[in-house]
Amino acid sequence: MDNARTAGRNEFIDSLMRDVSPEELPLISDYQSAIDAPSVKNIDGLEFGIEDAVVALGPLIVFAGTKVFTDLSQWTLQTGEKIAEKYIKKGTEHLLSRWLSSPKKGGLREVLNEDGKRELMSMVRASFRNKKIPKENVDKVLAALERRLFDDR
Amino acid sequence: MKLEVGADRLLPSLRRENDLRSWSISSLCFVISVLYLGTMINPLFHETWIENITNYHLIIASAVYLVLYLTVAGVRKRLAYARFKAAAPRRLHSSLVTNLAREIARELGLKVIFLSFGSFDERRVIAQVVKSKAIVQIGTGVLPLAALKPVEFRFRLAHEMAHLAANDYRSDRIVSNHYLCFAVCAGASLAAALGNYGYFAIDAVLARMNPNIITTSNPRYFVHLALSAFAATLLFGVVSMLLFAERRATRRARELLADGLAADVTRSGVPIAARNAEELKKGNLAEAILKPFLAHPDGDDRSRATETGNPFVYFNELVVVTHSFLMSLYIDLSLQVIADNAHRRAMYIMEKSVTSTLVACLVGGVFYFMSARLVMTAGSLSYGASDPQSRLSETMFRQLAYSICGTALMLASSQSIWFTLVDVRWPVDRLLKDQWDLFCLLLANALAIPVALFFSRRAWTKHNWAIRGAIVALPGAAVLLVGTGIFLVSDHPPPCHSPQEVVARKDC
Repeated sequence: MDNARTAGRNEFIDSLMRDVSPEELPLISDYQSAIDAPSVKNIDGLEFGIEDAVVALGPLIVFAGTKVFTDLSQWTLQTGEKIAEKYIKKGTEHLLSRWLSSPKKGGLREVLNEDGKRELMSMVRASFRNKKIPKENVDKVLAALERRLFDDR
Repeated sequence: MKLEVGADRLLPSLRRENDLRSWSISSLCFVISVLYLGTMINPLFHETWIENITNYHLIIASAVYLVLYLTVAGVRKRLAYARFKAAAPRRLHSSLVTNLAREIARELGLKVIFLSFGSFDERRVIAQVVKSKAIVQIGTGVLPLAALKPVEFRFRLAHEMAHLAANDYRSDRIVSNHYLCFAVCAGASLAAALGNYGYFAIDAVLARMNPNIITTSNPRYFVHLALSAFAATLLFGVVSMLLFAERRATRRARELLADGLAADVTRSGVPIAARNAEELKKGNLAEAILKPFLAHPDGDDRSRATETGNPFVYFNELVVVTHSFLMSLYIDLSLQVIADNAHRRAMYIMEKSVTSTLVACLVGGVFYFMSARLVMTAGSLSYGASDPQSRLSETMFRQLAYSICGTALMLASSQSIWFTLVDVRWPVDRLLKDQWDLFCLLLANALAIPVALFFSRRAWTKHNWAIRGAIVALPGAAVLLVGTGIFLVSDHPPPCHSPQEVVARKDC
């Protein structure tokens, strides 16, 4: 991902976080650096001993935002191929590239068709599967994501 | 910022207790391992030039133990570093987290590196020391707490930093290294003792089945070996059990103390609600049985410990049992070094050299004193904030029971006791005749421990170091006083007549 798109992704995640969980804004950079982090089994040291679940939307937002940008970037690379043709409205490929560098609210409404919109949202939802995340939290984040992508009000 | 209630006063005590525990457990593991390893090594160098060196078997066993310890410590250090690197720790970017963490570190007077690790489902906070640097690793799944529940987040960090400030990690590392070395040495010595016993048992059976076979089995030696194997198994079994229980109990106590310190620093309670009485009743039997063996006390204990405003009430009773065992063991070993029964010991001390006897006792005395300091420090720590209205007689009675329990465990696994029982018709009479001085010293020790603990409770509130030093020396003084009394009332040894006496008596 080039610098412009990385900046665009960060801007998008920032605005999505502002919509859903503004109190977690200072933590975005730490969340982003954890996206590809490995799971750790054994580690030496003394632990706190209580590992109760933390209900936080911030990590989900970062995860969803990153997923959107990764998938859409792949679609832009597939211009002319059947998959991209199926989801992107004709003649709007350049708008998608521009949106990835400068994501405006509701900017994808003019770019993706209904199938594209449905496919993108289902891909993001699928990425949350098997992660033991409460369904209401996933729904909340996806609703906010949909508004940010396709609703310019 | 100055700490108010107890953290600034408790931290030095906790550090001291950790240092003492490291020394005490180290010396215990070293002494027992070297004694038994030495016995195992002894026959290997018969009729070689090494045999001319005085106590060569103990010197070699000490060297073996040292090499083993350095190897274990080195391997575990490398392993810990490899695991640290495999966790791929990351620098923290958020000033929200680093500012909170640095604030607590400043309050505890610590220099800590804060890192983040793992993916979003990582909810552990880990305190460790890597390459002499204190590190707190915060799981990514815990980071949201910094924004959503800052009080809880601060508590978790303060808890981990309390472990580092009290040197818990370092002490636990040293102690567990010694446990591993002890396990290896004890396993080898035990295997050798049981192997010897098995060999002679087979030899004896073969001799009985076929009288034509010439066997070297001497029935007396056979009994001696059997007793040796039994006593060694019992001693290693009891020591291993006590070490395991002591480590678990100490770790649990450490967790509560870290909670207490964290509550003191953050002025908040453990971030978990205790279950009410009805919910507790629903807890199953398995949970109740497993509870003392878990590394962490459960949320109920932890939240209650800080809810009452007194996090330091937990007293590790196993410390009294374990160290009463150790103090008795050092008395027993010191006497064994002089001679195997009371009469011979008296003869040796009176006729030969009091100084050479004292050297043996002094070595045992050093370990004894460290165990005494540890138990008094642990006791005074728990009394530091306990309810002054609680019934002292009840507490003293309980502690007397614990110290007698430790002494009884030592007696049950003592070689000098088991060997006294060889070939006798009236074992109790023989025991009382041969080991009466040991029993007197152990009784003095068992009674002195609860008395000293009783006074340590008073001394804690007065903060008088001279008085506290005197209290720590109290059990040793009681044992020395009884020892002097025994020395004075013992009969003067008769002159040596026969050649057998010259062989049997060290003083001839």
